[in-house]
Amino acid sequence: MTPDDFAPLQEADKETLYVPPQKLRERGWQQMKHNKLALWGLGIVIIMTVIALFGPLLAPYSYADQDLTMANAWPGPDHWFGTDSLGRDLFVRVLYGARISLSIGLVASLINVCIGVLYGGFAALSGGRTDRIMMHIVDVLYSIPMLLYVILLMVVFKPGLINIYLALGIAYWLNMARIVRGQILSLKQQDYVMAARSCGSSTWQILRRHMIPNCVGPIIVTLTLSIPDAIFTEAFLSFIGLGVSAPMASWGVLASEGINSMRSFPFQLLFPALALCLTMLGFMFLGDGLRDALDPQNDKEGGR
Amino acid sequence: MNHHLLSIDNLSISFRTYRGVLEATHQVSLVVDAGETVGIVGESGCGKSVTAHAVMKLLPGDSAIYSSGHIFWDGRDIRSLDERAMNRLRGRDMAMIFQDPMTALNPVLTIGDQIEEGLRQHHLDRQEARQKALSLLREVGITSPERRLHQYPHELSGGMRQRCLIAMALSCEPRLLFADEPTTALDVTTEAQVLQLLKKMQAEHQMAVVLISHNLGVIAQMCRRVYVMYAGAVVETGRVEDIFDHPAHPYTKGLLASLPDPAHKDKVLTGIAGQAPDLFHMPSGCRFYPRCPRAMRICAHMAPPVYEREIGHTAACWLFCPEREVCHGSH
Amino acid sequence: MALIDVHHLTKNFIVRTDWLGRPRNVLTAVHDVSLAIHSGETVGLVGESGCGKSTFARTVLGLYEKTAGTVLFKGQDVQQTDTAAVFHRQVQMIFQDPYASLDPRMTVEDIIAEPLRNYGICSSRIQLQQRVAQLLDEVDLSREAAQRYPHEFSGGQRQRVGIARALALEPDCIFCDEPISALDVSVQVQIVNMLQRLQKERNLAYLFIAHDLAMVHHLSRRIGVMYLGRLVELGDGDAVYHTPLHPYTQALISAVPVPDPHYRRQVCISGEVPSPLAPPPGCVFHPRCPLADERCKMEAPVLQEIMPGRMVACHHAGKEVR
Repeated sequence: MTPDDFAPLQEADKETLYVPPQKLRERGWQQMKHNKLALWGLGIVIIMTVIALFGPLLAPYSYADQDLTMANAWPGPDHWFGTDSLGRDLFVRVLYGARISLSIGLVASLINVCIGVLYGGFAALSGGRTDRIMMHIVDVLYSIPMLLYVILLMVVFKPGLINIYLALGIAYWLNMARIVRGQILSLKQQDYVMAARSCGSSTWQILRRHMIPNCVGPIIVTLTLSIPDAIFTEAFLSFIGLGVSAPMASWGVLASEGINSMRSFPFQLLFPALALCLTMLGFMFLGDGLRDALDPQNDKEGGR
Repeated sequence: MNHHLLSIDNLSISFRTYRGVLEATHQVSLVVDAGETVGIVGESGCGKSVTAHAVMKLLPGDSAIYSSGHIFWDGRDIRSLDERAMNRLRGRDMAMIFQDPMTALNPVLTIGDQIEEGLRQHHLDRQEARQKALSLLREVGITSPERRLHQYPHELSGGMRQRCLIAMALSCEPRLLFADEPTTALDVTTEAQVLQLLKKMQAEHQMAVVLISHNLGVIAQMCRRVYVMYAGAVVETGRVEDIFDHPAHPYTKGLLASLPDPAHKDKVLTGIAGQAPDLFHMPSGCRFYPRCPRAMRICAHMAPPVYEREIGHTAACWLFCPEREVCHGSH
Repeated sequence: MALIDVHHLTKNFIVRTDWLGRPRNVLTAVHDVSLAIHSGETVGLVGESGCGKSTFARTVLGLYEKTAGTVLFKGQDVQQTDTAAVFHRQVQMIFQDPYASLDPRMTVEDIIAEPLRNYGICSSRIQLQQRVAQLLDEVDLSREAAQRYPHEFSGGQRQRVGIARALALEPDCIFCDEPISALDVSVQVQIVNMLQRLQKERNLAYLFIAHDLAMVHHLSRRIGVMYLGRLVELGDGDAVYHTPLHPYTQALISAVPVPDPHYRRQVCISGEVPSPLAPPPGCVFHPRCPLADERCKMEAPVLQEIMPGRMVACHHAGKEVR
């Protein structure tokens, strides 16, 4: 040790730590990257979407091509997933099924979001008696088993792709309405909304600057989680014969056809069911991961 | 050499997080003798709670790492104790009360159930346990204890809940009580009552108390000896008079200079510049030097050893290096 | 003339309603409080949690709708629309929790620019950025902070952002609602010193709300003490702190833990603050008061000026508690 060591340190010589600014989006992605399940989910969802969009274009067969000589063929090099009782290639039908099932999930969920956000947002923003009455209506609707409601709608509408979109869309917005209302009510209590009001922001400005951006996260999460719900409900409807009509096939239709010959040709049930399960899991994992990643206050750094 | 009730020797605790491993405490040494009140004071994130939780082995097992050091309880190293032995030690020999009494109580059990639960583990039958619970509640100054026994935590006020927690902690006559910010969530008048109660209980039961607080006033009023922590390390220790009357470490001085003096209202408070370091980006050398008004060149690259100023009064700061005093003389 | 003059302000909250939405349970958070704030001075407001000090500030600012009372700004009732516009611009607020009072999805620049945008103060984007940079300088934050998000800052730095936002409109008065209680001691001082510097530079008035009595005394020219929604004592800061007249103020001051190991506490009151849903009859403090007698149980004392500039609401004001 030298006397020099004990000389006063100039302010400028102190090391200063520079941490580069971090965008919220990057931070969310950082968080996603550490969540293996969410990444798997994202991967599955992307693959399924690509398959649904482009798979059928590359397939050598069409979903309706019948080859009765090849009926009920087991999986092999010609027909990767085998064929059904009419000799249609099951792989191609599963690819087409992805298109239908995913589009149902997406469109129905988007209809949900539209109705739910408008309804829930309006209730929460008006508050007071309007809010109470609107939410009581939701409660009453909630007490009807949704599946029953959808089945009734389908009986009225007649089976068909567009009617399924509609029936699922107008049946499942209740959850979204509740979530949006809850979110906005809690945002109304936030100090930063108070702060905005105290520095002169109008209701519209508060809505645009604070409420909407802070609602987007939970809405996306609920959307992601409601897609598998819609897909599953559609599968169930198809299963009981109220879904899309032949020769179009969703995964539910395929599974319901497969179940007839489950004993002799189990692959006919196995592949559509597998596709369904994978997609459901994919969306679930993705939704859970997004929930963590989209919350700007979520800090899992665990410092103490 | 181990006559101490509790002796912590160079304890370092790290946590695994997704951003990497962070060191929450760095070579903390601390002793507690039977029957004395020891204070640990420091700002948020300085590692004072982690130290207490480490002794009680209450840290999350999957992310906490005991990277070095030993914890001696009554001369026995308890780092290697298994869960069962530890359970016997907790409660019977050491107990803990927390900052937020609401989260430390089970909301679906009555106060009586929760106190008796602890008692019955120590072989008291139902009747005895109830009697003991009643006398404990009376002891901690709860009015109409018969009624309180049947109430749930949410029916009590914050101060009452903290009293119940103290009753629970005392139920097995521990020899050491950790009080982790016991009054931070309470109002001043309630705080005064709870502190008075703690003091009374400590004297009556002859137990040692480790009081963890960020409030220098609470520490000054309650403790005999004080450990000052900064960024995971102990920077100064001494008797309470040493710390408050002649603080040695620049951090302790800065903390005391942050408190307003009611007699001299117009005096500008000096405080400490800057802010506590992020535990992921600890400065090299002395952890305090970027904020230290008396930082020297050496502080930037070498961590200071602990120097003894007087008996029992130590500070980890290069200012007290004997060689510096020699150098200074030659200047 | 006082800058802000609050007369007999009362704020009730409806806690529970029946199924038709009619009030069933009413909580009086602020009861008949009158307080004046003069330009350039700091008025401290102390009291324990739930005493209504924050509600008072928020009600005066119009963040909650008042139940009764009037608020005058420079002598004009703020219920008139033209006064209201000036009032809301000239009186700003700093919040307790620097984590909750900044929108986590906005950059610091957007947060500080919010009031500027609301009042259309800067015409161009460049002007806006310059003004924000100026405000950041004012609160000792680096200009580079403008592009960051609140989560990247420590508590003290976030509170600086909150102060910069409050300063943006060049207000006459800032209501500070427990601005330092969520911060570490050493950081509290930085904020307090900054508030004092800004006050000197800009002749700001503060309503400083806190439960840390020593700090309130350090900052304030006058101190008001609240208990269960009532203002029980008001007067010169030194006088209230060193010779409190209301028994509650005495208890409050003697309960503060003094950072001096040689000091011994004198008085310690028992009991806890009753629920504001069912305040005791008569003087609300009587169940805990060492001086209480029959009169206190029946008759609520009114805030009276017992010395020039000194108001106390107590039948026994000035008697020693021993």
